[in-house]
Amino acid sequence: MKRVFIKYIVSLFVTILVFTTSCEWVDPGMNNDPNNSIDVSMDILLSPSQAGMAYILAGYGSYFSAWFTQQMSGTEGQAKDNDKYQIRNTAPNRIWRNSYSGYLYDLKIMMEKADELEAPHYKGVGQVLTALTLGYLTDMFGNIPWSDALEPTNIKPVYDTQEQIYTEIDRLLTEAVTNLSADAGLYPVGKDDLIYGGTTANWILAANSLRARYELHKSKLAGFDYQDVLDIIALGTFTSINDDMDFTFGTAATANAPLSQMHTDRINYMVMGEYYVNAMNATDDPRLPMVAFEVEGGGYIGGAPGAADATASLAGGSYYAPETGDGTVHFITYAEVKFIEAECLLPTNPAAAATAYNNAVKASLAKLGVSNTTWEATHANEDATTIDLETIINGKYLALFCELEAWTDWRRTGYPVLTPTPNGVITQIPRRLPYPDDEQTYNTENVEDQGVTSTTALTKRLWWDIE
Amino acid sequence: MKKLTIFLVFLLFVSFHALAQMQITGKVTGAEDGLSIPGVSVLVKDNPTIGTTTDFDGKYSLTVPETAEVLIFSFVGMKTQEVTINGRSVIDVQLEAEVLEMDEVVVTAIGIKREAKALGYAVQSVGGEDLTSTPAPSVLEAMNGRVAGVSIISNAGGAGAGSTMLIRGSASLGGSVEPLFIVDGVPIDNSMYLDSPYATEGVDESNRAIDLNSDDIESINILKGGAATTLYGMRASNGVILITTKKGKTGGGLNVNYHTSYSWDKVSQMHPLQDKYAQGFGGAFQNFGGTTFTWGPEISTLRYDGDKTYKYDPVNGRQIVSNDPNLKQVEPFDNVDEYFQTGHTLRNAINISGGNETTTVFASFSNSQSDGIEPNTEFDRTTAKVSAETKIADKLTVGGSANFINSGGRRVQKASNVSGTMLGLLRTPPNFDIKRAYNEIDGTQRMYSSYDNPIWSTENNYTKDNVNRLIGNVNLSYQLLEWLSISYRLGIDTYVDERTGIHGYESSSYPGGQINESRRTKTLLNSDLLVNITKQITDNIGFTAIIGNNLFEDNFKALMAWGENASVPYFNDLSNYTSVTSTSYKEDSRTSAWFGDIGLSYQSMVFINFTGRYEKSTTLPENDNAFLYPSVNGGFVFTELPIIPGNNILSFGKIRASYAVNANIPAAYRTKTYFVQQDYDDGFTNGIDFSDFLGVGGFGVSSVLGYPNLEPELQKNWEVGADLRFFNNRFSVDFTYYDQYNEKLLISVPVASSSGFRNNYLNAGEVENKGIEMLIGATPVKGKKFQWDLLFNFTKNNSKVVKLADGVDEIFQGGFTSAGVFSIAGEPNGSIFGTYFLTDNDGNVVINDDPTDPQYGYPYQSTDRKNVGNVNPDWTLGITNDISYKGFTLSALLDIRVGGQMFNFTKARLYYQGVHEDTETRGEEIVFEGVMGHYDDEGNLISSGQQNNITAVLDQDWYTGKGGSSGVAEPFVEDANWVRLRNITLSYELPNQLLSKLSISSASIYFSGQNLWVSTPYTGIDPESSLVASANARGFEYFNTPGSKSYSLGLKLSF
Repeated sequence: MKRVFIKYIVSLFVTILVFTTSCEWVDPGMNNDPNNSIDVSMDILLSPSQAGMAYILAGYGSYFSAWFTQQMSGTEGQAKDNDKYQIRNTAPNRIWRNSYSGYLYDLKIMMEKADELEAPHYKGVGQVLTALTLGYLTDMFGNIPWSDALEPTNIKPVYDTQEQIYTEIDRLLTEAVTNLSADAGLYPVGKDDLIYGGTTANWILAANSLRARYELHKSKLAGFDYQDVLDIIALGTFTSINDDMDFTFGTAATANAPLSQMHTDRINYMVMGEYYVNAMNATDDPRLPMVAFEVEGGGYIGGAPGAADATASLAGGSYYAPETGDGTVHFITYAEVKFIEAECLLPTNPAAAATAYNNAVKASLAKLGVSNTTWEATHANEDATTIDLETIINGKYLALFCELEAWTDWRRTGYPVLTPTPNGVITQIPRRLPYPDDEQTYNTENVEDQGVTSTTALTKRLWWDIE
Repeated sequence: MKKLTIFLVFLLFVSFHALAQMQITGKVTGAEDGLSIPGVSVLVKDNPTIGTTTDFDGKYSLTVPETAEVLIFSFVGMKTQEVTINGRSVIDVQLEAEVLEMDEVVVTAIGIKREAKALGYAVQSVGGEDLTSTPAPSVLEAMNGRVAGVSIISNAGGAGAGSTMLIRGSASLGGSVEPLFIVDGVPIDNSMYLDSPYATEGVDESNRAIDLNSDDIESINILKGGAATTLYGMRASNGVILITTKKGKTGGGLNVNYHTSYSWDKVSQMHPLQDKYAQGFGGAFQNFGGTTFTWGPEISTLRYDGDKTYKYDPVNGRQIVSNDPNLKQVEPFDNVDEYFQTGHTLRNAINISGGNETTTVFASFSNSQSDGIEPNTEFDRTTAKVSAETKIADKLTVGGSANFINSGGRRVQKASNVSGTMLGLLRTPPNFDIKRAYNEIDGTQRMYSSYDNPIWSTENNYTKDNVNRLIGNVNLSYQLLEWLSISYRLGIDTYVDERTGIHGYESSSYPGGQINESRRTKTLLNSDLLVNITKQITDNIGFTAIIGNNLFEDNFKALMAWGENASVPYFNDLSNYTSVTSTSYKEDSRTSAWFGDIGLSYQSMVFINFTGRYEKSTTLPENDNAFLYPSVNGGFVFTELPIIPGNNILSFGKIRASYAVNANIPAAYRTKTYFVQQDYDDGFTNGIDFSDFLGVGGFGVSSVLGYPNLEPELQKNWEVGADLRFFNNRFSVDFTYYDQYNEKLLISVPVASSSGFRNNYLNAGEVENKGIEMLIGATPVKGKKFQWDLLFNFTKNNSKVVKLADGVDEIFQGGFTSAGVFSIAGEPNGSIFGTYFLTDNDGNVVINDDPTDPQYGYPYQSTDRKNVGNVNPDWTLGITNDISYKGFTLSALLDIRVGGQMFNFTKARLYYQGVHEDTETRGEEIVFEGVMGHYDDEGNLISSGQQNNITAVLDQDWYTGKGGSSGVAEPFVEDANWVRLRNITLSYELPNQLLSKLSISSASIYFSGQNLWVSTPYTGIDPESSLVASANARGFEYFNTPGSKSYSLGLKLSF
């Protein structure tokens, strides 16, 4: 009896021992966070990347262009300081954070998946969006990290020169056209594409249009030839406002457009700029009510730069859907392509340039839904004798409200002729933005290699911005 | 009664054997007093199934087989005696009282019992008697001031408010710094769930050790150093609190203990407020509903206009500036006095235990009900516990225990929160009466400005929590061979914590009302398999070995739903709220380990132990998830050396040393990078997120990079010590020096976003804690009737943040990022980081001497921040004094803390608001101490170095500018030294003659007081409390609940 009992006891302990040692108690799968996803599909990455670019690059980032080119004037807080060229190092932080650790990294992952799954359309769309982001960033900051960037283990990426970035933008856009022209395979881009709804033909037009834009940016550089831009345009660019690469936000509070949210959250932060409003008032431009609010008592008044004039017209009129929030921002439009064409045709074929210009202005009105044949008969009616560069760029400046190109054009051509903020911390209009505080703190050596400090950055010219 | 119980025990537990061959009778008496002892167990040594217990007169009668040779007499509190029968039929025995011996046995890691003298590291015990000698809100609080090297940080004085414990300084920067709690070998949870880790608002939460009933506890051992804790592996690097609960005693008869007490709590220390000036700004009066400031006119200039339609006061009417003698003069109100109430706690605990030779049983029930010092705050706890152990067969013992707890309370809003009660109370101008919480005309909340009336807030904003918890274990052990035993224990701690939080309709924080429903479930599972070997190899050399396997699982799940904007006001159900959102969170982890402990001893003189633990954790990277932690410790009892003759001066002397490597387990889910729902914002606006975005889903890569090479935080520590006892233990000194070097501390390091991420987790930080612990015990007087015992416990810990990660200068730990507690490289861990007054090179404050500057005559405020204080004390000393005379015992615990600061940010804000007493002298002229100077355009100091003689005014501009909460932090960093009478207790043991007639074996009554006297230079609330319930962020005050002092009356009875 006793022996049997001992047997039971021993076998009990052996069972415990076997149980405690044999099973894979420390199951590595347990460390997969159930609260967050370990993997997502390409479409889930694409939508927020587009939305983020629209909110940050075509929104916040482009405000700098609007302040510097006096389309808008800041009246409160950081907006007011920026209007006086007092750019804090922390101001560009969000542009970099959202770009690099936001959509650029997400697009990189999306394109890696596209390679793996043989999904050339996703790859092509990713390339266009990546090239566009690089374009925005380099035109704001000059040299930026790219070939060494987005490698998580490398926490101090070295910077590429702006020239290298331009080469990369062109390469990405060219390859994008090839990829977008290929067969979609098993993964066509669909409704997750909030820009074109998966229409690859439009993406190809957008890629070529962007190539034309960034080629034109080199206009001051030696060896630049307008014909190169025209050759790109000939490959097939936008042919109507229906082709525009833009982004329309939603009515949900979490999906409202940037200027609509400014209107809700920071209504007193930004007013219209004096130069822009005066120019539009001079011709009674039908676009003005779409981009600006009337002041109390009627009419439109712009605020002088640096004056923080809170009585001026609030920025962002009905086109920006201040009430419903579902406003639209532009990445590149048919109007811009026509302005580019006009500028490139001007030296060789002024008549064609004038036609392109007239079409550009009309496209801009049509875009805002205010086509007006009477007004256009007077103000979109240039010919070979009247057309000149100043007219083209001034017209483009009015059409591209709150778009980064206005500032780029000013740096490139000197038009429109603006008077710097009289009470600015520097006496000239900034030609670039300082590197963000994050980079200066956590990537110090590489920032220092760029040869600009927070104070000198504003006035130092970019690679394509030679005197 | 007693006879009857003994008889019952007899019937229940004692087996009779019919084959009687010889009868032995006798009487057992006490050796000292000669009185008979009932209930003594009498057993046959070789056959413990044969036995009996003595009757009420101490007599026994036992029939034994002829083969029986030896009888064992045992009784609790007495030395067990073995008596050889030698054919006698009458055996009378005198039992000697058991005195605490040198060979004191202590419970060490994994429940291993060791002789105290064999240990190579410091262990300190707190007996159950000490924990229950006076009622404390929790086991943690009961240990406060009693243990060297341990500091307890109270969250606040609210009912059910939590405490945190720090042993030998903080050993982590971002991970847990709390010790591991083990109850009877089973790890239990001591979490405190907050809305966010740095919560500076919300309600005072409990830490879950509050669920333990002090009356169930036999003893607590505090394992401090690495050598003591390394067998517990990755969860024990902050020390281990080893709790042993009471058990039934073998042959101890039936025992019933009853403990009841009633306590009264009063608020202890409070900010002084002015009662001269009224609500307003710039000297101009503003009426209720206006400004939050109290920079108005003197209250003496105000009178009531008698308007019966004025909603704030239809009795007296509106307050107006007037000197019309026909109108009633406005008098200030003492709102603080009005607000606080006397808190009450009623505690009842009863336990019953008993046992025979094979089975012991313990059962207990306890209940405590508290009302806090703030109105409408409560905390109740009910516990029920049963444990039993039985020898079901020869050499096989099985046991188990189950402890059920229900606890919870009603808590109110605190701290940085417009519904916070202290915030509302202290900011209220003295011309407003908070007692009337509702407007008498329309019944709406009556508040002076935009903060909730504190009394209204306690009635309408609250969180109720309800915790149901089970802590239990089953165990069995088998003595396979004389020198080899195997045991197994399976333990569980599981609970559900349900909370409903309400912000009432019309509250300042949520005018439409808010509800917050949450349910958190936590389950810890623990399995221990142990093989225990004890063998005397030769006469001189002893060998012990333990090999064990441990499996551990930690499951957590939270489900939360909250709604805003009630449709029907004051109807507090989720269905009534228009916008409801919900979320859930899950976290699971497991570890498995093999561990071993090998001990060698030579005579009773030299002891050496090696331990090792090889542990795997799911929270570590899959391909590198195992770590080995070794330790070695040794003790040398030099008084055993033959060359040291036995003497009465140095009765015992031991030196000891140990080295250990330990680790702190990383949190779950840190090794991989995840995709999270994407959102973007520009700093100006709320931005966009993909919870609702044009009907499409959107995820992006998390901005925090997972760390595939994650390692556990490593702790290397060594310790040396000496244990010296003189004059037969009348005087003893136990000294320990330790050095704990923590490296590979996990830090979320901010990185350049061009790497693709914003933060990386890295094993980068290093923190060192070095310190001294000293225990000095003395018994200056020891007589038959009078005895005086003294125990000093001294703690000195120097902490230093040796290194943070590259590019990281400081890590925020708690408070506010603008002014709070930080870990700063090169400084003690826990530095107050804030703005300061600019000084010249000699450290003199520079006073603006530019007469064109509006700041002429005032000091300069820095734009940057620096380390302006250290929250760590230089040293602490607890002095326990026990004086007993006949049945009376007077115990006092004096607690001294020297050094260390606290950030009185409440005071800074009260200056700003114009309500602090110091602002009563507003308009007073002052010449700031410092040198005159000013700064040129390049920022260079131009100073003659001349002593300042410019007169400045301390006015509203000063207090709302540099001189208050929006100004310089430095002046509000105050010394937090204290001397406090933490506890004083007078107890009286009722005489036995009286009790025996009532069948009561012992009875005592006591009267005690906690924190009755505190002397501190700190000018805020009791500096022991802290806004943030995290040991790394203590030393910060901002409108948190004040501490309390209490008086208690208690009665203990044993049957």
